[in-house]
Amino acid sequence: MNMAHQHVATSYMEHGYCFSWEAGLVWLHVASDVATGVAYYSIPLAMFYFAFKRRDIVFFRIYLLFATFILACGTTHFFAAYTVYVPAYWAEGYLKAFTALISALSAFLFIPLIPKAIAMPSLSRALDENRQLNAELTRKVDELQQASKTLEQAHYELQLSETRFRATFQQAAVGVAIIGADGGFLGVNSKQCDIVGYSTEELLAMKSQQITHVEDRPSTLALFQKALDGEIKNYAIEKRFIRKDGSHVWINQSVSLVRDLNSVPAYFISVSEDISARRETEQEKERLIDQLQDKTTELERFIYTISHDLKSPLITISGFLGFLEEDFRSQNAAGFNSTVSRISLASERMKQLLDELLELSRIGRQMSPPQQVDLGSLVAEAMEVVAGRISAAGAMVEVQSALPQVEVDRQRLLQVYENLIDNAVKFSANSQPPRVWIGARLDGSEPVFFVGDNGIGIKPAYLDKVFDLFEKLDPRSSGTGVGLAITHRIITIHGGRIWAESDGEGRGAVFCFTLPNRERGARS
Amino acid sequence: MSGEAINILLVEDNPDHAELVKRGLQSNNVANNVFHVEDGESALEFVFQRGPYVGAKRPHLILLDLRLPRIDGLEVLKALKSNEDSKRIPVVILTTSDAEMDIARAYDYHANSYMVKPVNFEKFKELTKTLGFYWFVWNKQPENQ
Repeated sequence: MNMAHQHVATSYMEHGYCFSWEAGLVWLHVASDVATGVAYYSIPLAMFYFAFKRRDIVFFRIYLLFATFILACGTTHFFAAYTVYVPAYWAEGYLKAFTALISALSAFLFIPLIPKAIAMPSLSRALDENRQLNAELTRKVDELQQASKTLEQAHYELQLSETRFRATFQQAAVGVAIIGADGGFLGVNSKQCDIVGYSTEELLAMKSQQITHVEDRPSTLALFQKALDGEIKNYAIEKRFIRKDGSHVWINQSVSLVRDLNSVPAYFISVSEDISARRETEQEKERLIDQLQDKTTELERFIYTISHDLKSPLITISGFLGFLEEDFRSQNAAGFNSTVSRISLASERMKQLLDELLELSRIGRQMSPPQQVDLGSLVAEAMEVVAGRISAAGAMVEVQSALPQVEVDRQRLLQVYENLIDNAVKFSANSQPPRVWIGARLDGSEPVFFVGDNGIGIKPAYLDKVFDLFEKLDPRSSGTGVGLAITHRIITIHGGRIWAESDGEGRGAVFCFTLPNRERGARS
Repeated sequence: MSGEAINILLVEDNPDHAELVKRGLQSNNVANNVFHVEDGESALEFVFQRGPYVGAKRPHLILLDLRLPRIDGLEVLKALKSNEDSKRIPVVILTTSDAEMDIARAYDYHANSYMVKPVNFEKFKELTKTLGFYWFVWNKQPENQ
């Protein structure tokens, strides 16, 4: 400043002189320079302020240089106004030199930056891109939110499905089990547990073959293996499970094999339905059908036999009536009597046949409820009925003492003993002496009642035939051949069995029968 | 066969029916001997000359009832027709049964004829008369019986 003053003091005139101090011209220059200087100063101040607020300015140093350069330019304008009144031209010169230096430096540094600046995205483009990015971002966020919602929904539905599945699995009316490829239980529902009587925990520690009935294991295992080998995908089998208490239960089991993504067998799903009731019904149905078929066959045979055997006396009667007519015409008195006797015997026989058939048909329809009967007194009563024949034959009848109590239709069992004792006496009449024995023995735990004789006996081949209707092994014997058929029917209706034992002709015969005990009687 | 008496085996368990048949056969003017047995077992013993029938005459005709004691008529028929010695002897079923099943089975077992006993005297007489006449006058049988 001293040097400036020196210059001012020593040599130059104020720049106003150049304007001849013409007030208008001086004010035009001074005002213009001051205004320009103020304007110049305001720009870098704004720039500094901007830079202060925003630290992210690119090319910061050039920015600062530019601010300095503009500040310097502004200062030269202030100095130009100053030199109108004060001739500090050296100072102004130095200032200009400084400004020139800064300007040149700015230009020098700025020009190489132009390509870089060009390469920089413009703000509007940047803003555009920014907007696009923002939009995209919003869209992505939307998408994400949507995806998240979908996922949530899917998760919810999965939970719902899982709950539903669990409920279905647990409350199914059929036994459901998930079985590993080794046969071990991986999961069971409560019905499966109910069917076999094991708890869930017990079953999960077991293998499916352990609850399969030993007779059903080979077939089950074969199907299991076929499924594992890929020959079949599923199978159904009716088989038995062994319950915890050792009893068995019939089930219908459907099994399908589930494979994983690599087709490796993962597990089996087994659905088992308890079909015990159905099987029982089926068996009962079959039993009834069998029974019905037996009845039909029996009825057919009955009708066949009756029609045949009732026709016989008719043929005799009509035949001998014809001979009677011939005898009458030829006055043959000798033949007359025997022919009439044949006719009357045949009609007698026909009456007997009809009576006995009626009797046979009554059995089963007319039965009294079973009652406790002392067999000893019943046998004694039967013997009184046939006492005439016994004494006529001179037969010795031995009755075992202490015969048991039985639960039977008293009247029918009396009929049985009458028939059997009558038969025994009849067929032993020619033995010396005729012997008949009546008693009971135990075959295992089952009482067997018997009536034996030392009579003509029965060939082994005919032992079953003796009970057939109208079957008479000895055509000359009296009777119609209905007695044993009636006896057979009475015992059968009581639920017992009857059979004949004999070592052959001339070696006597024993008729045996059983009566079901009370428990068995109650069940049937 | 002329001159020689015809041997007929009558297998009939009902003595009255046997009497009816015998009387009917007598009236046809063909000389015959009727041998009567009452059950299936005796019939077979007679034909095969066994037991009490050793030396029995070989029948030229067998009249066979179906419902017989011991061995049933159809069983007798089966036994006769499946035996080389007896299969050529004509067997006429003479029975009360007109059941279709009996007729069919009799022919299955190679019965030579099947007749149902009529429940009428005149017809019965007619049948037995025609029977003897048919089998021994008109019917030809193998000689080597």
